[in-house]
Amino acid sequence: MIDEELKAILVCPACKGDLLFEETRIICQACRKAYPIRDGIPVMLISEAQPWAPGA
Amino acid sequence: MRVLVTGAAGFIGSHLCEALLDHGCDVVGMDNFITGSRENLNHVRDRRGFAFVEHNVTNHIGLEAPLDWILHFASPASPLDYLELPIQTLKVGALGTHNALGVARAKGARFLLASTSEVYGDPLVHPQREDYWGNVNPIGPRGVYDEAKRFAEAMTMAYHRVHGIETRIVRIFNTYGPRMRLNDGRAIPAFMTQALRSEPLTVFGDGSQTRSFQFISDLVDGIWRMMQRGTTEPVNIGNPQEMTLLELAKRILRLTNSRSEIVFRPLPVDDPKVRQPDITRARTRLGWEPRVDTDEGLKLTVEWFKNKLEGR
Repeated sequence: MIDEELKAILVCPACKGDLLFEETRIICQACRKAYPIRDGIPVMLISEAQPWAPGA
Repeated sequence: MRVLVTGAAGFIGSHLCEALLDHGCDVVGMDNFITGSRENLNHVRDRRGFAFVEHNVTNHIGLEAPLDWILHFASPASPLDYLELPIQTLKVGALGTHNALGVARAKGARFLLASTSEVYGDPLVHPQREDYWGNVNPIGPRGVYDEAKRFAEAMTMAYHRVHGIETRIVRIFNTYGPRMRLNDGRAIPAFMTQALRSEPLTVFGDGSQTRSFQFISDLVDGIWRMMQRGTTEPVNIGNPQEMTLLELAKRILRLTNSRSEIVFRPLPVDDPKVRQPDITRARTRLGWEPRVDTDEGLKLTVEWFKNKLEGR
């Protein structure tokens, strides 16, 4: 679980865009990346992000 | 007050996060775990006011929140690590520091750079005062760390001069304590691990080179004071009690009741022969001086290494 405070302060490290928080990943809709959440830690590494498409 | 700590999962970073939380700060920790460890976060992960993000500060730092302080500790810091990660070490010193300063500027935050006694290189002045410019081989294998930190200091001062941000530079001398990595290649973890495993202690050269070791809690106290009332000028934070590496090896043998023998190995390239901080500036400007006696600090550290080696 990512706490609300952390959700409020994180932005996408690639485009500085707003993020959408899911259970296991964090999505940047603007640059279409999904960052993983591992052991409750948001992994905001561009190299670890998966490509994301709307509806996927 | 909210503080960003880069390198939060490292040896010093993790102690710092703990102290900041104790002082009532909210802390956002960052680390990419290249040399930091997840285990170092165990004691703070669930504390109120702590949040953690896995991030490489060489890339843009995406934080949308007000921040009051930024403490930039991210970097490989043991010779073994930076010899193995020379480019990452230079990148985090240059690009990472630039990014962290950019955040400080955007948030109007006070910035602290964790610099190092390595900026003095193999010093020709002894003990080292902050106005000594150092003796560094820029193209030697160790140069990657020394020059990365020297560049980081220059960048920090440039941001202060050009953008007027409040900056602090601490030059950290050898520091030890619980949560150092067993295999980080530094003398204290190496000697302790060897002594506790009854393996021979490997001393480089003839062991006559000197170092000054401070206990982690003294350093953390110095950093706190530096943020409270420090100065833009660099400040040495270290324990001036100097000893030879051979003496250190013997002390550790005594404290661990070990019967290991001492063996000598060739000295690494550009290994500094002497190292001792002049802490007049820290004394006068911060009212700081080390309080933990070396044997006391070593005992606490031995206990921790013992538990670690026994898998507790």
